Amino acid sequence: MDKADSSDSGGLPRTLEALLVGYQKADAQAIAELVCVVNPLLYRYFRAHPGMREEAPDLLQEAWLRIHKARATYQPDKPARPWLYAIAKHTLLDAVRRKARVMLRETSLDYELVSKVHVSPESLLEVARLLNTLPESQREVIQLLKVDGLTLEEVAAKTSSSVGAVKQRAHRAYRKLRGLFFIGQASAREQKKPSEL
Amino acid sequence: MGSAGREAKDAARSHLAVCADCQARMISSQGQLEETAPALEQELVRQLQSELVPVRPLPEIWILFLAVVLLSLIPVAAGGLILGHKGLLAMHLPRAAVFLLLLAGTFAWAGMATVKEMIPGQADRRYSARVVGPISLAETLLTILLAFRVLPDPAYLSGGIHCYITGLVSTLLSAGCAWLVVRRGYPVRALSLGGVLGVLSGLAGLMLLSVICPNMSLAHIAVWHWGVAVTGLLIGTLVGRLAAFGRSPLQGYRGS
Repeated sequence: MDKADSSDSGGLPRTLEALLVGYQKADAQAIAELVCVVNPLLYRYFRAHPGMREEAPDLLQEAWLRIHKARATYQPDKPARPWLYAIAKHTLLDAVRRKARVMLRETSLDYELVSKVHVSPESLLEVARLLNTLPESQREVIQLLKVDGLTLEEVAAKTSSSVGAVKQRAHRAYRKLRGLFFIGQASAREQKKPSEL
Repeated sequence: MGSAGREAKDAARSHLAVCADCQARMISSQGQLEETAPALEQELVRQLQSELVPVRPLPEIWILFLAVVLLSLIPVAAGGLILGHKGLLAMHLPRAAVFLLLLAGTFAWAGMATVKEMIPGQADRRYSARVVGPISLAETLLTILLAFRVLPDPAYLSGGIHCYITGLVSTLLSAGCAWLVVRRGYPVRALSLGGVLGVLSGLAGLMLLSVICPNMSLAHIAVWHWGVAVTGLLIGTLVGRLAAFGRSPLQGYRGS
């Protein structure tokens, strides 16, 4: 039996192909089972790429958005795995290429922050440095929300995602930034201690 | 195993003990599935269920193939009816038959490549733009070189430019007609799709010129008619490249 099988209400396993057909027919139960079965496969696939391991959850979300848009193209008599992995592969490739392009532009992001935010240069550089540690999708959301001043709905429309996804990314970014900020503060205090003694 | 093999094995084992990347690859290859966070899974299910609409699956591949081919031939048929078919009448029959048969075969190959690019997971090396593009163009040029003769052509430039523009217009119209079918798919390789669609529509333009143009000079056909097919490939590849780079990972092509 395929590891990626699931069970229907009669106790018989539903294949990946049957779940995709159910997805096309808008069967809510099929969607839930499909996500449960496919997520570990795709997550493993994304985490296997060394440069994108930390962004695997975001890639997973992007892949599902593409799967959702592409669901009509799945043909019921064909195997499901090549279809799923083709979408996952190109999600990963697009992310890798995007990351490479962004890395070339990282210094210009600092410049944009300086031109838009009126705070001390030291704080600005610190903010820019912290933002650069975020994955691209989270950094984009923070920039749109906090620098460009867009609403959640506008950011969702601009990034072709839902408000919930935007909130999730922002929440993760804030959590990471908060952690990094407090680590930085703690390090700064520790470095000051010898001179204060 | 010789000493070199044992040393390599020891080196690999030592490396694996400290390299996180290789450890991750080992885990993947051993089939252990990493679990995603339950909150992420629930959020995904909630988002997908909130946008739940039944969709009709795409038709069989052979139906899509017929649709793409027939739609992209509409400008050719219309051009032939409006502008006449002097080209067909001017051709020597056996040569015309061979030329048009090979052209039709290449056109069908490009059509199937276009359909394969519409559907994720259907891509095949035999139908990728890297294979279809150069081989189609080379085959077409070779056929032209063998089927036509060098003849005097006093209006080479003016006549040629006129044919080239007519062929380009037909190419763009064929691409637009084929796009009506292609847009229903979800191509994951924009660059390759652009290439094969460019070849398909370029060959349609070449077909139109073969039908309407009575100039049988080899130089005229090899440069101006064949040039339309080359231009189709180049424009298609350029559009595909722009689409690939301009594409947000969260945006796809319109599905059904």
